This record gives sequence, structure tokens and C-alpha cells, in this order.
Amino acid sequence: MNNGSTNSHRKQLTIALAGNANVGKSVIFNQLTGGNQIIGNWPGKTVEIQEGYIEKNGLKIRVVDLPGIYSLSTYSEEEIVTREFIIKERPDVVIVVVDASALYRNLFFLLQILEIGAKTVVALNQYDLLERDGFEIDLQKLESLLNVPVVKTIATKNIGLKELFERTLLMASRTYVPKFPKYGKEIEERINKLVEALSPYDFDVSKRFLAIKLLEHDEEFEKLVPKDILHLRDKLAKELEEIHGEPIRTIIIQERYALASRITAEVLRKKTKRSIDFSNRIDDILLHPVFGFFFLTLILLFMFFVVFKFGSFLSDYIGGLFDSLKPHFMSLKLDESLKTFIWDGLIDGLVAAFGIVLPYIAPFYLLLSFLEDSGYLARIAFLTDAFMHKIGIHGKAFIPLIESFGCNVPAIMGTRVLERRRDRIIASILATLVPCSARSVIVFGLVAAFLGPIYAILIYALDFVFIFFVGLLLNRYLKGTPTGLIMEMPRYRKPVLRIILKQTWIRLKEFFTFATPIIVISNAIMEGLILLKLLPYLELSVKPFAYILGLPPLATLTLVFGALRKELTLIMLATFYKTSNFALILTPKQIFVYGFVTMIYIPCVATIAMLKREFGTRVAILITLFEFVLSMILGGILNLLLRFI
Amino acid sequence: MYETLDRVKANRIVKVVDFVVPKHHIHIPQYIVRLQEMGVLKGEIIEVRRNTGIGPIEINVKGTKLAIGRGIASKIIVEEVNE
Ligand SMILES: Nc1nc2c(ncn2[C@@H]2O[C@H](COP(=O)(O)OP(=O)(O)O)[C@@H](O)[C@H]2O)c(=O)[nH]1
Ligand SMILES: [Mg+2]
Repeated sequence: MNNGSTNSHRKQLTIALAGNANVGKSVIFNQLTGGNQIIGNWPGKTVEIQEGYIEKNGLKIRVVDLPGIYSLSTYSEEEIVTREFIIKERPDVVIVVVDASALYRNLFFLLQILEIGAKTVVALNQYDLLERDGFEIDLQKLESLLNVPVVKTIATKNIGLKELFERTLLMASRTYVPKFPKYGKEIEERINKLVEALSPYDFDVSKRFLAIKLLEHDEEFEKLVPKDILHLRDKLAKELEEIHGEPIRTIIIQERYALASRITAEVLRKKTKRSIDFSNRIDDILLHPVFGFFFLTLILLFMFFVVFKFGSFLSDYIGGLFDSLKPHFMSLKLDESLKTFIWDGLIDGLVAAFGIVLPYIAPFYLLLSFLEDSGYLARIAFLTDAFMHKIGIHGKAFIPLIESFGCNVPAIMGTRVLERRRDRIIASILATLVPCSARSVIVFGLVAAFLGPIYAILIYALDFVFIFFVGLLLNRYLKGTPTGLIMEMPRYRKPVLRIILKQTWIRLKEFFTFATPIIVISNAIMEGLILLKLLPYLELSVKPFAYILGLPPLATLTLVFGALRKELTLIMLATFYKTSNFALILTPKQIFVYGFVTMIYIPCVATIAMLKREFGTRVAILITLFEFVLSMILGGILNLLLRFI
Repeated sequence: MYETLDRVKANRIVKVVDFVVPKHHIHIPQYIVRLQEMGVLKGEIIEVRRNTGIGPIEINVKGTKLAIGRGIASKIIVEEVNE
């Protein structure tokens, strides 16, 4: 897990930002690193870790933005990644970003980081919100209680960040002897006994942290220690459980909160009367069981309207740009078939990525970041939770499903907001069945254009019913139990444009570095197939499916190309039959079956690749097969039914 | 009177009394640990801010607002506190 590069890390400094969600880590990260950051993945885990580099006095400083978490247990992959990062990569300093206006609960997390024994600096961020609530915090006292530097910051206004950075560098260069705030007497005694028993051994973490983790029955750490220590642990845990009458994990949580409460009482002071909390007033409307859904629908409709209006405009514009370049390219003095291959095989793939996908995704991400930054995304999760539970996932999964209407690939990345793998897989499967913009193009260009808008709506409706039943099915037959929703409701905030643009940019960059090569390569393969005149063989092999679906084999063949990029189905249909009057090729019933099957029959290659990256090869293949078989069955049934109408 | 959190009406103040834990569990379930880590501990006084009968329950605990799904809320036993 160490990348084996510990040595090359020596000459540079690593600073990690850790803290709860929504405390301002990413804003601080962006303010510190400026423009140049990359999103990495912790090996084997699908949690995003953002990294950026700063040069200062000839020192190269690596800044890492860790995911937002509430504890260092193993509830979610994000927690595991964060603690592995701190323990194994050993950042020189961990900056714990704290929401000053919720000091009490944030201390709960901070105390755990201190236990690890890593050098820590505390950023008391969102200090403006604390002052608005009419409070102040005694910094000196907090510093002396925690034995680490504490800096007041207001990240969005760039206040205090310079001092934070300087004190972080100072911390990195000095020696640090951890001095932990103490828990209650009974538990401290037993922690010390365990620490003593651990003294002959050598570990990456402080013995105190390890002792506490062992008391918590943390499986990852239980693996590290010999049996007799576990026996001692069992004995000590039992004693504590008898004294407190609670399970040991609960006791430790209670102790941490008791400590957090003592510290808070000592440092937090009321200054003025509290001003009213507008968030709650807004929520009375936006979370209202009737008006709330009304607004949600309005907002979603508005979003789709903007995305598709703006997207098709941008798409036409970029497509036109490439089209106008084509004659110039074709007049170059080069071998004809080479030119065709370069243009149709390579450039066309780029056109697809930048002319078809980008125009829809960019505005989509922009709006999504806006909703996220305003705090509304959490409200969407709240409103949709009841419904989403019916299909085995909770409210947070609604957001990736919405994202899917733009493109499935980032939606699968977006399922990372879910805590459990099971939830992520269900949400991802459903996401791949949501009609992305490419599939909407097909439904509009084929079904709506030749059968009428009613039939297009019917296909969407069929698809949504289908998604619902697949959800029911997966929830019923996938191993494991559904996870319930436990979510902090952030305050509403005025979104900051700079931050929205930044977030959008980072997301786009990640998407394109991932998807562009796949789109271009698969496009080139397709062109190769055509140039090598292999199509007749392919046509032969799709015959059985053509029979099931009641479609002409040549039309069925276009579905193979659709697996590369969904909108290719229509393009190839026009190419093969040399007409875009599809009514000449297919009967109305065939158009309907074709439209329905293209919606669901397979995820496109970029989506499959993303599934593989997030869940492994086996799951990616299983999902693909599952959807293919299901779509053939449903397409076949639809075909039969339509014959009788 | 004891009741589960999902049945408490909005704008009531309640005290957490206990959690419903399935009998056969050796350890307490993860979601209860998570609740406790978020501050929903025995003895804690919480304010129910929103409960419309469908969808999650919104509570105020330790100065933060938390949305809890109905399923999980039905595992939290509370008692009304008289102000
Ligand atoms: N008022 C105020 N808002 C802040 C401050 N720092 C961050 N924010 C806002 O808090 C929200 C969450 O910030 P973000 O950096 O995404 O949090 P993260 O989840 O910890 O990465 C954003 O809407 C920020 O604009 C601050 O010091 N004061
Ligand atoms: Mg962040």
C-alpha cells in the first residue's frame, strides 16, 4: 500500500487534510495548492484522494485531501482509506479541519486522529459561522488541552490559511511528543494495561491507538497482534462491560463524547444572542411532503431543460467545427484509405468524446456542483429516501441516478457517496439502465420522430418501470441487507462560483482522462472491422438475436456498434441502409422494439470499463451479461406481444 | 412513555433510552455504532425537527442536524421529556 516509494518521499513533505464532511477541507486544499491537483485512487479502494503540490523554499510539499468521515472505524471504505493513509503513508503533518460551529461533534473525530500519534495541526474553520451563532472559542486553552497548534480559519475568505500553513511547516520540522487528553479512570487503567502488554512489539501506530482499537474489536488491528494479547483484551473489555453495563464499543464512543464535552465546556463561550437559523425555515418548504417534491421536480426539470438545450447547442457547434475541418483534411495528399481510417477511426472518436459527451456533461456537472455547494443535494437524498428504500438503496443513491441521464460513466463514480459495496453495485446497475443523453438522442431521433412523442414517452415509462423492478429484484436476491440512511444535513450556503468551477473542472478532467482513450480506441476497432470487410460475418452471428427481436439482421448488427457508443446505433443504421428515413427500413413495431432494446441491452464499453475499475472484472462481466440476457428476454416478449396487437 | 423514534411527532424533545438490537447479534450492529458515533447515545436529549410520517426523520443532536431513515429510527427507543 506504500507504493514502495517511501524513499523518494523523503525530500518532500506530505501534508494530509482530514475531517468530517462539509467542514471545508476541499476549499482549504484548493486555496493551498492553487491550480495543480490530481485525483488519485487508494490502491484497491475506490475512494477519491486528491493530491496537489506546492513548492516552497525549495521544498516540495504534497498536499492530500482525504475523504470526509466521522470516525476511524470501518463503517465505510472512506474511513478505512483515511486511516490507512495516515498510518501507512505517514504524512508529516495531518491538518484536522474542524467545523468550529460544531466543535463538540468534530472533537469526536479529532480525538481519534490525536490518538494515532501523528503530528497534528487543527484548523478551526468556518469560524465566521461560529461567530454568527454568537460564540467564541478560547484558542490558547484548546491548544493546551490538545497539545497541538490550533488556528482560526475562514477558508472561503482565505482568512487564517497563511498562518495555518506556516504553523504546519513549523510542526513538521519540530519534534512532537503526543500528550493525549485522558478518558475516565476505569478505561484509562485498562488502556494502559494493554499498552504495557504491547510494549515488546513494534507497530506503525501509537500503542495507545492500537490498544483502543483492540478494545473496539477492530478486525483490521486484531490481525496484527498475538493471541495472548487478544485474550487480555477480552478480559479487560469484559470488565468494562460489567462496570458500565454497555457493549464495549458503546463505552468507548461514550468516553470520547464525554471527553469532547468536557473540552467544549472549557473552551466555548457564549458572546451574543444566537441569530435565527434560516436553514430550518428554508427546509420547512424544501422538505415539505408536498411542496418539497414539487420543488424537486421543478429543479430537476429545469436541470434537464438546461442540459439538453445547452448541450445540443454546444454539440451542434462542436460537431460543425469538426465537419468544416473534414474537407481540408481529406484534401491532404495522403493515401485514401489511410485518410479514411484516420478520420473515421480516430478523429471521429474524439469528436464523439468532445462533441457528443462533453456538451451534455459539462453543464450537468456545473449544475450538480451548484446544488452540492448550496447544500441541496442532501435535501434530495432526504426527499427520495423513502422511495429509494423500496429498491434496496437509500436516498443518497438518487443523485447518481440523476447523473446517469447525462452519462452513465460518471454516475458509477458518483455511487461512491454510498457507504456499502452492495448499495454501490445496486445503484450502479440501475444507473446503467437509465437512458443517458446518447440513448435519449436515439429515442428522440427514431421513436419520437417516426412514431410520435407519445411512443417516446411510453419507452421512457417502460424503462422506468423496468428499473424499478430490477431494483426490487436485486434487493431481494443480492446477498446482504440494505443500509439505512444516516446523514448529516448541512446548512444551506451561498454557492461560491470559483469553487463550483473548480469542482466541475476536476470532475470533467477525471472523466475525460478515463473515457476519451476508451471511446477513441473502440471507434478505431469499429473502423477496422469495416475496412477489413468483416461485417458480413458479424451479421451472420447476430441472426439468432435478430430472430428473437423480430428485427432485420442488418439492423440488429447496429446494436453491436451501439455497445461501443450508444448513438452509433442510429448512425450505423443510416450508414448501412444509406438512408435516414428509418420508416423505410423498419416497421413501426420494429422501431418500437429497437428503441426499447437500445435503452437497456448493454452498458457501453466506457461504462463497462468504469464498472470494472470500481467493482472488478467479475462484477463488470456479470452485470453486462445480466443486462444482455434480460433485454433479449424482454425484447422477445415485446416482439411477440406486438405481433398480436 | 417509551416509543420508537419514528413515531415521535415533529418539534418534540425526547431522550434516548435504548436501541433495539437483534437477539442473535454478538456485536452491536454497525448502524447503531454509527448512530452513536454521530452522537445519538443513551441518555442524549434530542429534538425531533421533522417527521412527516414518510421518509426520514430529522433530528437535532449535539448541535447538528441529522437525517435518519425510518428503518433505523424504528430501532431507537426514546422517552418524551417534559420541558
Ligand atoms: N461560511 C463558511 N463557509 C465555508 C468555509 N469553509 C468552507 N465553507 C463552505 O463549506 C462547504 C463545504 O466545503 P468543502 O471544502 O467542500 O468541505 P469538505 O467536504 O470538507 O471538503 C462549501 O460550501 C464551502 O463553500 C468557511 O470558513 N466559512
Ligand atoms: Mg471535499
